[in-house]
Amino acid sequence: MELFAPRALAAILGEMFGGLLWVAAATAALALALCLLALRRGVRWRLALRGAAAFGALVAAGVLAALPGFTNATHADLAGALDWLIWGVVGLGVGLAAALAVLPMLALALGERADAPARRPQRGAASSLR
Amino acid sequence: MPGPALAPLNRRDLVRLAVAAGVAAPVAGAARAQPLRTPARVVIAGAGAAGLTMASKLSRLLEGARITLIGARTAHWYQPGFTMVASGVWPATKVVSETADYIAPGVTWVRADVAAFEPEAKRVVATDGSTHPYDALVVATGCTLEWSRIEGMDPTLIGREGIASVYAGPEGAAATWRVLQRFMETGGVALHGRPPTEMKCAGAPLKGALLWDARLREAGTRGRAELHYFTPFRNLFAVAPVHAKVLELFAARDIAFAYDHTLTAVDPAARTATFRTPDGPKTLRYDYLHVVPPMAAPQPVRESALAWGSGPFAADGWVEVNRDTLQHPRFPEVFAVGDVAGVPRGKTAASVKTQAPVAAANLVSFLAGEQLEAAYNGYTSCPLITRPGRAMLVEFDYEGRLTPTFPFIDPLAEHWVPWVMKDRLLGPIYRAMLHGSI
Ligand SMILES: Cc1cc2nc3c(=O)[nH]c(=O)nc-3n(C[C@H](O)[C@H](O)[C@H](O)COP(=O)(O)OP(=O)(O)OC[C@H]3O[C@@H](n4cnc5c(N)ncnc54)[C@H](O)[C@@H]3O)c2cc1C
Repeated sequence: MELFAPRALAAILGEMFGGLLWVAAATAALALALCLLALRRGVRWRLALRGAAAFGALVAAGVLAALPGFTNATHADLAGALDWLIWGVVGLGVGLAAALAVLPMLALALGERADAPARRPQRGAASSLR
Repeated sequence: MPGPALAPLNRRDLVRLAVAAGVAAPVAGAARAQPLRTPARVVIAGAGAAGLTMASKLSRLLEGARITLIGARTAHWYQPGFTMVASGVWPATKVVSETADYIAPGVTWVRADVAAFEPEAKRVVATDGSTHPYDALVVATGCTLEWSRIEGMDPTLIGREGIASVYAGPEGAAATWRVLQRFMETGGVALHGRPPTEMKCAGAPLKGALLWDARLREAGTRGRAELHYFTPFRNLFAVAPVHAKVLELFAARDIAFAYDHTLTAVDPAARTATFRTPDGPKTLRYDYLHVVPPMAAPQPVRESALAWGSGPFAADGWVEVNRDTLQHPRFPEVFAVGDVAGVPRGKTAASVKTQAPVAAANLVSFLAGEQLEAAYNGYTSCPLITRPGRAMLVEFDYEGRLTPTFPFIDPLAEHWVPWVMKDRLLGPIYRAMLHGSI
């Protein structure tokens, strides 16, 4: 058997999350597409980043609080460096993913920068510069 | 409790991590690049963990072969989850699925059991009267629970009269939890133990004693209960460092134990259990009795020429195989995988994950007329749950050496991470194994 075969990893994740994997992939693709759109529009990234970071931190805190319970355990069951490390990595990882997912939406919702490049008029549409 | 020292991960550690996660198996012997083209008839007896895994693996490794899987049970049981059910962590529905969901495409499933193995004629006879000649046979019938070897014991008693058993299927596990809940209210004397035979998951009776102690403590009724553990041997676990750790846990949890005690009789009306001891029979009163029955190879295996004729595996009829190649020494077209294989240790689902690639590779080599190169090292693993929320990831080989997959996890320290593996990860890995994708 191949060691560390990506197909095997995919099979285990598939068994673990089933259809949810496709939802996650679709969300990631949507976030990426919105990101590209936001980049073209010249949005207010700094403000969006702050908002996304706050949201991510909230999600991370929620995950860190709920994670042992999700595994039929309590925080009192965490014993030693490895347990706390895994707990922290999962919480922060989910928080980071949530922040990245919400970032482009937030950026688009907050609108364009004042110095954003003017969008080219679409062919056939009336131009205000005319 | 101090935690394990964290060492930086290197590539070797990552590979070991993959092995533990079921991504890879420590199998000696090269994998074949192309499936073998063959018209061979391969029969697999038993559609449990080992039989389904073998069917999935062989259907990928063989092209043109006729693979027939013979097994009557339509419900598939995830047995490693039984302790979770018996301690009230999981509902019984979580450990039951459909056998049909795991049958690989191209594999013919005969919904009957094997009534007789006729290795001299290279065929098996099924309980529906059909006969199945083969060029290669995989015996994967698991083991039977020999309740009748305990006088007065009957599996229908489980859930009544203070009698419990995590081994009696999903229903038995659920009934065990009900009996335990009652015992948590009343308190009294609880008796646990293990049988004198080879058994699947030898850690399960220990897990039970520790888990149920933890449940009593949670309920605040531990002070009203007396917990005892009996073993026919002179150790609590056959692997020395694990035995030492269990001794420590039992002392800390105030669980009494005794060696050289074999459960021989139960009187449910009087609520007494009788043990064979070097000093003669000893009868004890109980309020809660956890029965782990003796185990043996199923009768058709036991009564066939496939069983060991002498040695430690002969009495209970385990299939005679070479412990490295899993091939029968007298019938070279026969291989055995899983609980029924007459090898030391190796009676866990984790062992099946390591045995199946070995047996599959060697069976293909046999059909191709090549040397058998893959070897099984006796790998056996059991997350030894010590309380809901904590476990120890105990792994060892034929020699009883601890073979921790994660060098940065102390296999003898109780942690949350092995518990998470038990609760969340091992089920998906098990299903991926049945599907032949790992
Ligand atoms: C309470 C408990 C806890 C466990 N905990 C763990 C754990 O934590 N980790 C772990 O790795 N393992 C654990 N195990 C062990 C694990 O479940 C078994 O080792 C594994 O299921 C073995 O697979 P198998 O295919 O050999 O046997 P099984 O999965 O039992 O399958 C055998 C199949 O053969 C069929 N059969 C029987 N006779 C015949 C016949 N004559 N013809 C055709 N078919 C037949 C049976 O009906 C069954 O379907 C546990 C087991 C129990 C009971």
